[in-house]
Amino acid sequence: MVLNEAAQRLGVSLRQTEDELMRNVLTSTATFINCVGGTNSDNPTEITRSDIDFVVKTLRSNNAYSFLTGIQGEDRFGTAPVRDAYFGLGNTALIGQLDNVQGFIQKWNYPSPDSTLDAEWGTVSNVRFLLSSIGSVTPNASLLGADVYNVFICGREAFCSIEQDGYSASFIYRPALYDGPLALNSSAGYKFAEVNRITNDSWVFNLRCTLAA
Amino acid sequence: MYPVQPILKKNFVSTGAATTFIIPSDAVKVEVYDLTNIATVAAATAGAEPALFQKASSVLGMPSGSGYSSTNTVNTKTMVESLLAAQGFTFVNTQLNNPGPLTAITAVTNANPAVVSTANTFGLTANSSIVRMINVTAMQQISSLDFTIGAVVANTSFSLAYLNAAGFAAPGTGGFFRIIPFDEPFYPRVRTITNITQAANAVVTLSVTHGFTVGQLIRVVVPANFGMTEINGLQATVIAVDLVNNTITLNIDSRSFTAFAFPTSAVASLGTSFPQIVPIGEAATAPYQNLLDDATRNTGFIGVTLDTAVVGAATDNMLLIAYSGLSF
Repeated sequence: MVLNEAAQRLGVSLRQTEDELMRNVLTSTATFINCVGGTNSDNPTEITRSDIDFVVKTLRSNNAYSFLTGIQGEDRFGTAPVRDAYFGLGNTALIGQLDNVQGFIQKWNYPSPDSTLDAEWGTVSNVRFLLSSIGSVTPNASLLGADVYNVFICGREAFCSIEQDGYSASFIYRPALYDGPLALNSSAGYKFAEVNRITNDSWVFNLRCTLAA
Repeated sequence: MYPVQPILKKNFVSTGAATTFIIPSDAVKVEVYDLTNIATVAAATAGAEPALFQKASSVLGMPSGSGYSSTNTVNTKTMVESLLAAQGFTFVNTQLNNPGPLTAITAVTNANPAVVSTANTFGLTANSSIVRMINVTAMQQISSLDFTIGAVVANTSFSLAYLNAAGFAAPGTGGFFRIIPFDEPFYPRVRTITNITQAANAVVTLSVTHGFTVGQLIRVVVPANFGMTEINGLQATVIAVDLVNNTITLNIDSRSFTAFAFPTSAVASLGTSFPQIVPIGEAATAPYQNLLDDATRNTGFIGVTLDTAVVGAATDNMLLIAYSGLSF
């Protein structure tokens, strides 16, 4: 039982570590665009509809493939159809900010939210936003010294993760017998080898924003 | 409880300057031995031993720059251990890239290079440190940007080595900076442009030491506020690199392009993106094919910096040992 629970936690740690490495590659390497449509007197400003539309226009002009098909409208009060969309990957600090963007539709206002990801917060324009507590943040990086939140808006096949050594990950368990003469401690862990890489720089952009005052 | 056990042993010849070593992630203690000095004292005639640094140690959790240092008492082989307050050991984790404290500046010259006046240059290393400029009054076009610094005049000023601010309308009259301890972990990195020449092969100056190599394929991004919009979006090959001036030369003829120029402080205050060089691959044409210089590399590491009090004198043979364990 304990080993099962440890394995579950290690599995979460593995996938979260992979996400963090991909996040760091995008932070280091992706083209960045500062939000300029806001009014908080900072640079970049808070995220606005015009900034998101600019990125969508750029992705469309570069023929980036969208990840998701749209969701047709249904006769349910308070819902609205959802466009085919790119993904926007951001930090949970943007929860209140996105809600204030013109035309933002929250996940529970989708016609059928059943097929959405757990991390999805909502959509605006042609972007569906996934928010995570480990979303990219560059500390003290704005004109006024505030934290800058990096939102990676990407089309399909914009970046990839390439497994090395012919495997994705190994779960390693060593019984207590290997610990020492009294066989007191077992150990469990994982290892993986992969390289993350942007495959098309014109299909992913880092939309940088600060928080509204 | 896990026993303390050595997990890394490294011999090196000291340069006399602070040196950083990569150590295993579970290292909790480091020791360094000055083998040259140990041999000198051991071989000296009794009563005529010079007082020399022998060894030093530190454990994870001790203040940065501290450590224990042992020196023999002059004319004896008796060791005396003391606690270092500075210039000792500093454990390093590049993932913890927290900017340094907010430090006030009083001016930034509109010159080439721009010179920043400040009463506090603690922690700055000439031609190496990266600083982030914040809320520079009357020169907001450089606020939020990172720069590699040049010369440092202690507690007086430092230069922004790769920023030619001679064309700026006015000097900066106040603001702040923070030291950025480490570069972004993954290479190759996006870099901010500070100048582009109008030439048969455009020469691009970058604000932070760029690390690009000949043969890499890049894309130039220049927002409308920066003048040379004709170059925006173009792909180019890096055909030459100048490490002194931190420039790259591209196979782009920019002679007919609009001149590159920073926007005014007032325009920048309203919000702007910045010009950048984006690495996109490797020029797969001769003679650059299969160089793999653009291969993604994670340059992050866990390590320890040995400062001048513990790294030994130049040419001394040294031994570094890292230990793991001490867990309960």
